[in-house]
Amino acid sequence: MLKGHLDMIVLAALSAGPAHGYAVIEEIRRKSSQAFDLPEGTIYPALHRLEQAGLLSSRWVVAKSGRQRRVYSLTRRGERALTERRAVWQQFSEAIGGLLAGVPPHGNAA
Amino acid sequence: MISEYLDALQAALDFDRSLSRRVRNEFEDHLREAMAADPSKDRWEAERRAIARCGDPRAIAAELAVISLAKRTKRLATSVVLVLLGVLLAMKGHIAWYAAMQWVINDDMKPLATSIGAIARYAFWMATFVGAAGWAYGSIYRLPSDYFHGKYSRHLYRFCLISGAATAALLVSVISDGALAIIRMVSMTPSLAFFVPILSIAFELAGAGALVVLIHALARRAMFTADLQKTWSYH
Repeated sequence: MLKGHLDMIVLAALSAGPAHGYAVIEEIRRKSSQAFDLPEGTIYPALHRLEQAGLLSSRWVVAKSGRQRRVYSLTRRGERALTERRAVWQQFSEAIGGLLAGVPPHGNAA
Repeated sequence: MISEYLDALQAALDFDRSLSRRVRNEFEDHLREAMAADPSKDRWEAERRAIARCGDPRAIAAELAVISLAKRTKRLATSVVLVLLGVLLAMKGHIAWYAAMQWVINDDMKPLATSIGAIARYAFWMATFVGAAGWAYGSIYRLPSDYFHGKYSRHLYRFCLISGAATAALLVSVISDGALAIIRMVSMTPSLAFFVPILSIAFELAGAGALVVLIHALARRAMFTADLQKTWSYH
């Protein structure tokens, strides 16, 4: 289920500012209160795909450790896509919330 | 242990050198960062955990391979259009040269030249029409986040067919154009002026040949990626 929303999750994690892959994973964990703990390697295909779609841009920087580091940031198109996806998710979430609120507790079903 | 993991990842992506280098650097940075953040004092254990959290390198490569393929597909779609444009300019260029040099076709060869000229023209417009359709088909496809390899393979197969048809028509056009040049020059005394149409037709042939090579490479890569996906995809 998480996989289907990975793009939105990655875009949301990058909305705070540019970050490298590991920092994106950490941000996802932190913002989801550790609820989303995906295999870390899966983040890179998502980052590459979003970059190819023009929603992210990336560049090499040299980290404090001296290692080469690829840093990703949202493009304007990516910001717009995130805003749209947030709105769709909000609607979906409210609809499901309303639906589930009417579900009788276990054992009370007719 | 990290080196072995990175080697496996790089080897699985070996078909795309720039991608494999980039991914290796990204994963090396990631794994070292994960190790540094690991609370364990045991370096070996920290390495093992960092690698385990990353997932299978071949499964990651399978996903990255599809993305690389999508990029190559768009590149080929653009190449077809650029080659068609280049061939059109080259054809117009040497036709203008024939006019400037007042090279005419012998009367007895005119019926044959007219037929070949028609083949060259119609084949070129067919290549343009099919090539434009291929460009549109190859460019508009968006790789979804939960891509299903069967669906994408069918898209690629159709794209290769369309591009192949456009290239075949272009080859017919270029060969006909070459035949026309031979008909025109065969009764003339060789001179340095011959180099203009010869070089122009060589350029056209090189363009069409490059497309054949690119289509073949894309088809091979698509097969390789499909195998990788079937074996190692997370889906």
